[in-house]
Amino acid sequence: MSLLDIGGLWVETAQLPLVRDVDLSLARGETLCLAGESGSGKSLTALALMDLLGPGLRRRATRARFDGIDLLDRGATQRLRGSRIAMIFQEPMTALNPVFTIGTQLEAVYRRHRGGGRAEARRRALHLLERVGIGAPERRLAQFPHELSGGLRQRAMIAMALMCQPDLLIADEPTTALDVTVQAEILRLLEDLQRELGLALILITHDLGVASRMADRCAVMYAGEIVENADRATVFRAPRHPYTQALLRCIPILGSAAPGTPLLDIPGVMPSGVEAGCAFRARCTSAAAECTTAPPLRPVERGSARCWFAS
Amino acid sequence: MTPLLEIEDLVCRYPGRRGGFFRHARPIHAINGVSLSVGEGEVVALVGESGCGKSTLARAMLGLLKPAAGAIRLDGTPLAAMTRRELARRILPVFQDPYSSLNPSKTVESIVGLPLRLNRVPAEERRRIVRAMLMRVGLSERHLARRPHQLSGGQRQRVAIARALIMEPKLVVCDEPTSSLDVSVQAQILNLLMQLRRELRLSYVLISHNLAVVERLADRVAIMYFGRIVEEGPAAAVFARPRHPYTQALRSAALSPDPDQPLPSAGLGGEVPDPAAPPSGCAFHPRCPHAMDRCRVETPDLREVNGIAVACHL
Ligand SMILES: Nc1ncnc2c1ncn2[C@@H]1O[C@H](COP(=O)(O)OP(=O)(O)OP(=O)(O)O)[C@@H](O)[C@H]1O
Ligand SMILES: Nc1ncnc2c1ncn2[C@@H]1O[C@H](COP(=O)(O)OP(=O)(O)OP(=O)(O)O)[C@@H](O)[C@H]1O
Ligand code: SF4
Ligand SMILES: [Mg+2]
Ligand SMILES: [Mg+2]
Repeated sequence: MSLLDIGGLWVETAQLPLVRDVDLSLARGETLCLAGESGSGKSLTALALMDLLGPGLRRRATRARFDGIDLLDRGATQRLRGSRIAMIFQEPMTALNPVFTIGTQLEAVYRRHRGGGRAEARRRALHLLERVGIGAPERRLAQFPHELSGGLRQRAMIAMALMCQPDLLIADEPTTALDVTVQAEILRLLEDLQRELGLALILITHDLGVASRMADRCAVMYAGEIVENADRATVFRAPRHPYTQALLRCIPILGSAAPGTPLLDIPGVMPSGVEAGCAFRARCTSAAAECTTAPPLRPVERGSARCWFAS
Repeated sequence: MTPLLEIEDLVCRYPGRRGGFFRHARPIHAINGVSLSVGEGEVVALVGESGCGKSTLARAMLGLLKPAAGAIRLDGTPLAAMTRRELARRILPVFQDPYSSLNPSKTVESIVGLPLRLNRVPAEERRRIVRAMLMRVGLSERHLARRPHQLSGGQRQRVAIARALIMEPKLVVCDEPTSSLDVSVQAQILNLLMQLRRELRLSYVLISHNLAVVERLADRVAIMYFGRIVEEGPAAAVFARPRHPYTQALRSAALSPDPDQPLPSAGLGGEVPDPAAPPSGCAFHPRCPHAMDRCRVETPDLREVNGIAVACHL
């Protein structure tokens, strides 16, 4: 049975749907990567799961269950949030409170959900800071967020997300602000936790190098919809959807082209509203007459793709 | 020929924590003796560990931070001798986050036209220049009246670039200009920067964590570690055969897409050095696999061999 099972998720403003008909499912210990165009609705999908959408945005779904609990019940979601489901936000400064020390914030999360005394919360905080590779944890607990470098702050955020030993971690671009060596360390830590604790992970990332090594499954979003969802070998070796194919061709690879060679892009821009037909049609090199009708997400070999010609 | 921008033995400090017992805390040396030059039309990239001082160096180049020691010269004139306005039309920034760096309540036309207004360019001419610049960066009339939240991330970054270029600067300092964008939009923005470089004879300082992008775009790269440059040279040559152990670690941690490969096992390990208690000798020695006794006591100088400069005792 899957730990998380989402069906027909929509996020919309009064005027416009921003996330359309998203299905996601995830088992314990599994990693799902969400990739896709900037502005395609990845963060909104995650925020909708956590019931953390900003004002003016509404969510609805035909199905949203986490370990048998109905996520459409706001009270239930609120109880899960921060304890069994945790989230790492893209910019740690917005999630950490600047006026409290790292220690105060880590302990508060634990005591809010687990109760227990300060000493117990503190022991756990120290243990986790060590776990995420922060040396001299006693000193770090007494520091304020702005006194930590970007990498340390990001690790502190990860420690905070793990305080209550969640079953599901949603990490939105957890390593984009970090250099590649720190990135590798944090990704390895996440992998270890999955092995040890059966943590399920939704990893939102633009870095397809990261997705190709971390994902069990990878869902690719475009203009508010999932256009392809398959296991990692399929997505990165034999992608079925023309958007995924075009996106992978754009990845610059070290040592592969002469300096000064222009980078490959997908000509054109993603539509900002909802258009008739396939959303990728205007930029798709395979577009044909059928494409003026919007394709459904159809089963293809080892996954699903939203294209009339994918098989 | 004097380079466009010349940085000499730059030192930048932040005050240590104040108040209570920490009143006399030691200042943090974010930049600790950096020399770097940028030629006309050249692209110089800065790469390095999170917190090593890249943004601090960028802020100093933009005149937003007063160095504690050393000098920065533009066309031979010290920045310190230039007025804010003079500086602000010749060196301009493009920041990482197109969401927070644009005023959300203003239209695209007014955001891009602001530098012209501050320089008292008449309204009619301003309209003309703004339209021409928006065309240049791949936006159109349709976008003039929009506000930032009505644009995509890529379009917002185009607006930021248009605003930076409207005064026809000599040097543009880009601090992670595309790290929040997908690879296709990233390519569009970076190709645009390179096209404008040719058309307007611009120079760039490009801060990026993406080694493949740096290799493609930059003429030279400076690898930074803990407030110093540890390796510098032509970008392609530096990444093809990294000399400094830190550059080697960076190189091996860069991930190309490959579903058959696990995460790289090699990593730096250890801890980012604490600026309040800097390591002795070479700042990299506590994490360096090749560290020798000498590395613990003596700070290596940057020495050039065949066009590549390295600061390492090996
Ligand atoms: N509060 C809001 N009101 C209106 N539109 C919004 C709001 N929040 C987000 N959007 C729009 O919804 C779309 C999806 O946003 P989202 O942040 O989920 O994109 P994303 O896939 O996470 O992009 P990125 O990769 O750039 O982070 C974007 O076009 C964005 O402009
Ligand atoms: N306002 C400040 N006050 C005190 N220390 C600061 C301040 N800004 C930066 N620092 C410290 O100076 C050092 C260099 O920071 P800087 O922002 O230049 O790093 P960076 O190389 O740009 O890192 P990143 O890749 O994470 O952006 C860090 O140790 C940081 O903690
Ligand atoms: S449905 Fe048509 S336009 Fe859409 S991706 Fe497939 S071929 Fe391209
Ligand atoms: Mg996002
Ligand atoms: Mg920075």
